[in-house]
Amino acid sequence: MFERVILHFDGDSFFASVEQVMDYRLRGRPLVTGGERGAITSASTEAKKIGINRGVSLRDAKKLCPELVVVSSDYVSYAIFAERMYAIVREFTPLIEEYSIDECFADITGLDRVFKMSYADIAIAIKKKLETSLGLTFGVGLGPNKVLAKVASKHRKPAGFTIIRQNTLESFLKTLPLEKVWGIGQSTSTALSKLGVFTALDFASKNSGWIDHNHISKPYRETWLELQGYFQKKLSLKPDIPKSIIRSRTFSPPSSDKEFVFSQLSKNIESASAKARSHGLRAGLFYFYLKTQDFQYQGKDISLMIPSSSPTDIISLVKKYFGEVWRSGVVYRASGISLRGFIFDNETTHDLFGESVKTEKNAVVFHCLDKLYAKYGEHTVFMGSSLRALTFSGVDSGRPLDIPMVGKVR
Amino acid sequence: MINFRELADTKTIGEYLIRHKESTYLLEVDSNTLEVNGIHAGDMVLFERSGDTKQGDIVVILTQNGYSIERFSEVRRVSGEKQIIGVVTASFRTYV
Repeated sequence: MFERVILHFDGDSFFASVEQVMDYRLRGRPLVTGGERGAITSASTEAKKIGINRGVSLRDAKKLCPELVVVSSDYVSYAIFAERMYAIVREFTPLIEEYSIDECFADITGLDRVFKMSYADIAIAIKKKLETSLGLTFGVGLGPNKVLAKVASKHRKPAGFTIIRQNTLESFLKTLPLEKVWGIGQSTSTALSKLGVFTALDFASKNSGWIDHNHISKPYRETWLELQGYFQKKLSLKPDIPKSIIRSRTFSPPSSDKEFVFSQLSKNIESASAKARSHGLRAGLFYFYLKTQDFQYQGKDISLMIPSSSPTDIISLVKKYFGEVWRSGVVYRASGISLRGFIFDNETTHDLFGESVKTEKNAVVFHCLDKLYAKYGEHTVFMGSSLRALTFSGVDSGRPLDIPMVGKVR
Repeated sequence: MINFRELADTKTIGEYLIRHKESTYLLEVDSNTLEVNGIHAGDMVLFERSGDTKQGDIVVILTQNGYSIERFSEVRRVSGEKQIIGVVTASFRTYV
């Protein structure tokens, strides 16, 4: 066996599958997400069977399948399921890389002795736990490094489990086009094809003289070594930048009071931006949503001209667009915010029209507030717009437990 | 530094109701559902997605018509169309 044993987990049709768990009526139906942006971000297994995938335009997809269900992305739920995925894998090993919202790597080297199970059985146990707990299927790959674990997880879809061993390595790489290898883009594979390298095996078989002679740079050199079975690319255990920060809360009883619902959302925004500031991050994009009593999501994607982590900046934008989402007479049960597109505090660029000056000023104010929060607890000082949410009677620990509400018992 | 919150004799309700956060989901009991083991219409139900069910568990069943709950018995093993997806771990209701 190898020196290292790396697993790669890849959620099958992740966004679409989460939608099908959150709403049972969507199960078994061809479905795509991304309706709000007019482009497919994920296609369900049923849709993929008819040839619909991310490369297909929404218009063509509907032509292919008139009964196709198109839903808006519910990033909040996707992130909750992603966090659950990481937590479940972490029950087995702390050595996990939260690679993306629907993928992670885990290093299980040596755990065969701890669990008294073979590596394959450990992988299957994690896969099973993920699948029953989340109600989704995963492609799982086992290999000596990240590159090969990823080749393995893509090998059989959906719900596959594939092991790449030294003695089977060649057969996997022989037919694998180079651009399908993780980290090798189209332009690199085109450049390599000019050198007569077409498949992953062609590349792996080159000797170090060839690599030096052709000035292959470090990351590709690592890939070249990993394709031969060596461990090169370390797992980044702590994500330095979270993909998204989400705050949502269900209020009980549901409400059709515009001011109250806005104050709930405003509180979520304060809490999410405090989290962003604690990471030293500013969001460039956000999504806010309201959830109706019938579990319909209505929301809006907004990008910030200047990335910010000040609730005033975000709240003032939400205020501007709140009317587009709000429908009077509709009863709402929850509100939420998802901050994305982060940059670090020190990466901000200055704009021509002085917007950034205001943002900087707010950043200073909220930096001071954070110190206050650290001393006296969150929400000691708060935005006027959050007032109603904070004085709203009811238990509110300030720490959401994020339990997905999946429907009704009949 | 002493964390007075941890010393206080309190219970965090979320943690009391939820054993395994990663596999727990919420359902609302519809107004015309018959009572099952003290679970009434209007209650909230927490369940864990799980493959293991044993005699006496209140199980969550998912069919094309939606969710239902019933007490599980080996004799009437649920099959075919009906799929047991989990086990009810807690329920709660509010009165005001």
